[in-house]
Parts: sequence; C-alpha cells; structure tokens
Amino acid sequence: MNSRQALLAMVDLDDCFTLPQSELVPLQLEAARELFAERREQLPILDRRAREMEVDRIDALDDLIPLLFSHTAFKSYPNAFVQNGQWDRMTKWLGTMTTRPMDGVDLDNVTDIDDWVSRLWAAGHLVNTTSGTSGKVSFLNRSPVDDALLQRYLQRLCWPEPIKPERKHHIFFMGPRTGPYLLLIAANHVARLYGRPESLHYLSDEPLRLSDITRMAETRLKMAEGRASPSEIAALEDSGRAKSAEMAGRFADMIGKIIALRHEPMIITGGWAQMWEVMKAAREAGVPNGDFHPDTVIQSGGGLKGAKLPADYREQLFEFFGPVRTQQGYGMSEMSAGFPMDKDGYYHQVPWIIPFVLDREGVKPAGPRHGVVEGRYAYLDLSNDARWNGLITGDRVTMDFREARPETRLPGLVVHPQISRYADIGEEDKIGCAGTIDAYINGEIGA
Amino acid sequence: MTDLIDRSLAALAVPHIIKGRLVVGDESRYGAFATPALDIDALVWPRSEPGPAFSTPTNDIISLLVATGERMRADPSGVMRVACETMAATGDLDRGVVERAYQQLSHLFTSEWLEFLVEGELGADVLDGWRKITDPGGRNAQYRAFPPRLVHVLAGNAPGVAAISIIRGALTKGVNLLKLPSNDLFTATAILQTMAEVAPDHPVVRSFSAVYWKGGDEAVEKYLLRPTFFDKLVAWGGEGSLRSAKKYIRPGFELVAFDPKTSISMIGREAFADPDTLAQVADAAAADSCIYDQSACTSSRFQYIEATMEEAEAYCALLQTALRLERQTASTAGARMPPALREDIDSLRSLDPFYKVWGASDGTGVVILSEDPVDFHPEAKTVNVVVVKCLEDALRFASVATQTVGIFPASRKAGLRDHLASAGAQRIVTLGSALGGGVGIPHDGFFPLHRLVRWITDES
Repeated sequence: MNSRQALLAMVDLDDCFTLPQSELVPLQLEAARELFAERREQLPILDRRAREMEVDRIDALDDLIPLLFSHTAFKSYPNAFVQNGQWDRMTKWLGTMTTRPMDGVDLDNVTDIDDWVSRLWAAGHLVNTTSGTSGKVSFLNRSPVDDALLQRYLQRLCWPEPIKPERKHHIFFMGPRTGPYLLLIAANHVARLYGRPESLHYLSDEPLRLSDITRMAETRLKMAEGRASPSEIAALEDSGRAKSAEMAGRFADMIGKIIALRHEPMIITGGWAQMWEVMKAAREAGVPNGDFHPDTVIQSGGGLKGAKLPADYREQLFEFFGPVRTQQGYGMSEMSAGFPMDKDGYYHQVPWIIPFVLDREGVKPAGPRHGVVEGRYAYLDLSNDARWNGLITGDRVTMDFREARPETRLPGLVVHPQISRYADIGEEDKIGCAGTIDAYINGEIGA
Repeated sequence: MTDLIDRSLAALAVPHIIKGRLVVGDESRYGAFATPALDIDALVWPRSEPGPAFSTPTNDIISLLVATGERMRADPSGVMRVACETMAATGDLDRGVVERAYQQLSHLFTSEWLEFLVEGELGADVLDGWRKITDPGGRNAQYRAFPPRLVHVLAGNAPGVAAISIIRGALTKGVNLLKLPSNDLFTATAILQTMAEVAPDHPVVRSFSAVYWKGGDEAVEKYLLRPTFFDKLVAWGGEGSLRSAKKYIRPGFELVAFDPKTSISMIGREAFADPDTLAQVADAAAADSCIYDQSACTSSRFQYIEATMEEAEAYCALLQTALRLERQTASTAGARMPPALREDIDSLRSLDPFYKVWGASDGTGVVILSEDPVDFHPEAKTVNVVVVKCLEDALRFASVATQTVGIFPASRKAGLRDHLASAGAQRIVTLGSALGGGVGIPHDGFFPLHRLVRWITDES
C-alpha cells in the first residue's frame, strides 16, 4: 500500500478524524509528492503552473501552495461554448481539467447542458457542479473510485458516534430528488445506506436543472448586449417566484409528515432556516420540546442565505429537537468530504485533505504549521482520482494545529467554529474608473 | 494571529487636509496604514454661511492654480516627491508609471488649459456673475453657475484623477470634501499642501478637505452624506464606490457619476494593407490598451477586427510584442495578474484552435484570439482580439458600459459613431488616441463643470 492508499484507507478507522499530525504529515507529504509527479504528466495546466512557479520538488507541505488554484478554475471554460451549444468544445475543455479520457462520451444531439451532464455520467464521468451568482457553473469531474470513497465516508454519519446503515430511517430531504450537486449526490447515498426504501421524501421529484441557472447567464448576456426586453427580464424573475410558491406548498406537506413521524428515526436534511420553519410549525401543532426519536439525525449546515434568525438559533433548535443526533461539517462542493464537527463544535481534519492557512491575498502561509493560525483556507485533496484538487478558497478560518486543546474533548487538527468570508481580493476600497456591464445590470436579476 | 502581526509592524502614516490645514496622526488604523482620528464635525461647511471661495473671481483662482502648478514642478519642500515615492513604493502601479504620471501631474495647471476648460464647459461670465436673457414672452431673467458643496469619492488607479478633481473643485468655487481611495492615499493631499504653501489662507485653500475613511463606513457616511451639508456626490469608479453611495442619494443630494467603464477597439480590414500598416495599427492598439497598465476606463480590453482567425494571427503576434513596450503610462513588467484571470487564460491555452493565446500570464502582455469575446474582464495587459466579418457586426458588443471606442482607419468613424452612441458608447477616437482628452469637452457623456455647479436664476 502506498502512502496515498494508506491515507484513504483511514476512512474505515474509528479514530479517522482525530489522528495526530506526526502520523499524518509524513504520509501526506509522500502522497503529495507522488500525486504531483503523476498529475503533472496528465494535466498540462498543472505542469504549466509548476514550471511558471518553478516548483520541482516538494520538501515540505508549504511547497505545495504555489500549485493550488483559485476556486474559479473549474469554471474556466468560455461561456460561449454553453450559449452556442458547442458540447464538443465543452467536453474538450473538461478533458483539460481531468485525468480521465473523454473519448467515450456520446455527444450526438445533445439538447442542453443537463443533457450534456447526463451523457458525461453515462460515460463514467460522475461530475458534480456548483453555481455562482453569475450563472456560470463549475464542473468537477469524479470517477467511480471517487464516488466509492464518498460512500465509505458517509458510513461514518454522525461521527464521533456514527449510526449504523440499517435502512431504518425515514428520509426527509428539503431539496430536489436528484441533480449533479454534491449535496444531492451524497443525499442519495445516505438515503440508500440508511433510508427505509418506502419512506424517502423530497421537496421535488424534478431533478435540479442546470439550464435554469445557465438561462440566468444567457439573460445577463442579452441584457449586456441590450437585447433582452423588459418582459423577458420580468419573466425570469417570475419563473423564480412561481417555483418558490410551489415549493412552499410541498414544504408545508413535508413538515406535516415530519411531525407525524417524529417518534420514529428520521434523517432530516435541510438549511437552518428550513429547520426553523419545522420548529415553528411543530410548536403551533402543540409538539413539546424533546419529542423526537433519539436516533433521528438533523443534518444541516451552510449559512443562513439572508434568513433572519435569532443569534442563538442552533441552541433553540436543538432544545426543541431534544437529544437527537446531528451531522454537521465544514466543507465545500470542491472537496471530496467535509471536516466533520465534533460535539464541541470544532471541525476535524479528514486524513487525505491537507489544509493550509494563507495570508489574505492567498499567496503565502499565514504562519507556521503549529499552534493557532488565522487566515484564508486552502487545501490539497489527495483523494481525487479524476482531477488535481488543490484550491484556495474565500473562507477566513482559524486553524488549530495543536494535538490537544482545553476547548475540545477530541484531539487532532481542527478548524474553529467561527468561519467568515473574505471580500474579493483587491476590492477593499481600491477605487478605479474601469468597470464592466455587471455594475449596470446587477440587482436586476437577483444576482 | 494575523491581527497581532499587523499591529507589530509600523503603519504607513497618511496625513489629512482639513479645510486647507495639514493634520497628522495615526489614531485610526486600516491594515497597513493609519490616519488621524476623523472629526466629522470638522468636515462640513455650515450652510448658514457662504463657502470661503464663493465670491472669489475666476481669474484669482486660475492664478492660484497656475502658481500651484509651478510649485508642484519645482517642489521646493519635497511634498510632491514624497507622495510620488510613497505611491510608487506601496501602490499597485509600476514605479516608472507613477513617476511619469507625477511628472505630467501639473500639465493642466497653466492659464491656457484652465481658461480653455472654463470657456469650453461653462464660460467665465456665469461663474463670476449673472448672464442676462430675455425670453420670447418678454420676461427678463438672469442666471449664474453658483458654487456647489461637493463630496468627491476619488478613484486611485491614476494620480491624474486627484489633479483634475481639485481643478474642477477650485474652478467651481464651492466647498470640496475629497474622500481618498486606498489605492492613492497621497496625491490629492500633496497637491492641496502645495497649494497651501503658495497661499496659506487663500479662500480656495480653505475650501478643500481630503481625508480617508473606509468606503461604506456608516459611522461617517450616514451623517455626512446629507443634503443639509452637501449638494452632490461626485463618485468615480465601480460598484465599490457606488454601492454605498446609492443609499444616500435623495432629493437635494444628487449623484454625479463618472461611471465604471470598459473601452474597446474596432479595426477594419484596411489594417492588412501592408506589413508596415499592420505594425503601426498593432502599436496604436497596444497604446490604447496599456493606459495605466490597463487599469483605466479608457484602456481598451476587446479589439474587434475584420479578419478570419488565420488572418488575425499575424496581427496578434505583433500586438503582443507591442504590449511589452514601455510607454508614458505603461510599464514593461505590467500589473500583477489576478490568480483567477491567470487560470482563465491558461485554460484557454488548452483550447486551440478555438482560442489562441500569445504571451505569458505574468502581466507583460497576453493576446487571446477568438470568435466570441471571453467572458472574463481582461486586465493586467490582456487583450482579447475577436474576429468579425465586418465592424458593423461588432456594434452589438458596445453597451452603456462602453466608454471609448478606438477605430482604425479614422475614415470608418463617421459610419460607426451614431450606432455606437445609440448602443451607449460615449467617446469615439482614432485608434491610438485614447489617452488624454476630456478637458474642456464632454467627459463620460457630460460637461463636468456644468454638472457640478448649481444653476440659480433671478427672474423679473
């Protein structure tokens, strides 16, 4: 077993997320060296970066920093390919970002971006996507090997006291049933591993459609070129509204079912604001605090996305749900797995992900790799079979390299609970007269 | 922790000017620099009394500005040199670009230019007194350009922004609060200091303050940006400055915006007449693109060319070479290329033959040839050459965000300019002439002096 395989095999260990750096770092360093050597042969974009940054040897983990990409790398294709329906060119682009050969993809009569993604999946490219407010979608290729690792990781649900995958939970997922988002892909694995096959509930049986997102980009382009009519802009906003009205109805039905089944184990996955709605409705229905089955799992995370909740919303929610299980983590769609949260609220390192804390510009380490360091989060994920996955994020984190600390009961490298966003690099009160059409159309289509 | 490390380093001291007087201090810390504590009461001129220069004759003001210009060039106290040095050492622009820009900073501070500016945009008669008219109904009226109360949100991508803002503020005789940008914390202050050295108690000197606060800081903006104190907000730049400003616009407090803009070039088939012509066109196009290492609104970013992909290749190679040359406002090294832009460009390198790329992604000059415009914002000397069948096909890429359109050959301008204007563009130039201009003629679609003053009538 080589170092990389050794790190990936740790997914099956009970102390997977609390291992000491003295054990992990030598393996990570060795694995990173091997992976870099292999990937730069496969990916010209990585080789170019290595040559330009003059990185030839990896002697320490920090030597990897120049090889990390910005989070926009996976949407670096020209939007014109999508707008013009040039799927062969999109496939060629994806081919430059992945280790996997793209020649098996059937590109005959592709109708739209969703169709293209389904053709990729049919050829074993299990891409997941993310979308920014700009309407441009990132495409992150995954292989069946990557997907298998995700499934093994999900068997540790509710770490540090994992529940067993016994198919005894009702599944409530506050989103669409399918779609190429990592969240949905993972939710489907969770449903298959833990769910009662006859009791799987989703807000919508319609798959999440990327065309809805790219249409936004298309309208932006038309607006930029002055070709969008006022009613087209209005229609775009209206379609969003009609959809949310329909969703509100289905959400109310789902809340009713959750209340009815509260004495049986369930896995409820959704945003905090949605959990808050469940609590409100249940209280109105006279449900007392702590009335849920103790094997119920509340799975949530992410920000509040503009929802106005009291500062102590989590405390209030867990007072209401009572002594249930919870699964929370710090992660992003680009990472193979999130850092799971312990009972003290700290996020624990996944062995195959090397975390970095950089300065605010995202160039140099914010400090040495010991003690407590605050800065911009970056990582190299050693697991990915289909791509080079080293990214610099916009998150401001506090990373704790200490092996043990008074605030937490469990050892190992952790990210502290307070996580915020950096403003985009260079936008801090530096005023210039140059700008783009974005400033003229923003706000009009909810971007 | 980061904050602790930051505090242990010495902060760069940024002085303020309050009503013509220099104020130093480091009570307010902003990352790498520090300013005196801000006393917001000291930043307003009460409406109960006229501003110091409301009645100063235009000729006096022009004399003061001319003397200021002379002193900026001689710089006996070294104020300008220190400002230039600090901007070169700490700013985003290349040292050579900053130094050459500072050498040019005083060029408008001459009586010829200042009189041309006043006459072209207003006329000194309405600045100094009342212009009389009789309307067809026989009614007599007189009107004048009354001095305004202005807050200027300055842009910092070129030091000339501070100079022209001070000139406009002085010539309109009003009171002027300049909000400094974090990318040029010294130029405006140095010019005002020089002016104060020329005539310490001159009413125009007492009509200017220049201070820094963090853009969007409610503790300052919510209380200052009010019609009871100021008439207009003169804002340069992109969303950064407009986002917070927009909140405060209301009746009696008006926005004068030098909007964020993109500039483009349109190159006709005539460029391919012979190799010499092609080389000259490439040089002119590079000059338009490299303005302030492509950080300005006038810097061209997209060039639409009447050619096929194959035909355009020779042009792109010449253009890339021309982008590397040092120019008045351009350096060889270029600006730091943002990492995301570098990755976008590097990704296109793998997409030959649909995209062709010349030059390294290091700020020294990149040319991208394509059939469709790229969807990122080209900067740090990055030009996207887009092939079109005819220049008319490129008209759809002009929009309300388009400022300057450089056209080759000049004979094609007349056929294109009305269409470009209709699409939203504001300024048509012969390719290679994008730098300069805008003084005594419209800028961003209006006469600035005309917009800054308040038009007051006296009717009978």
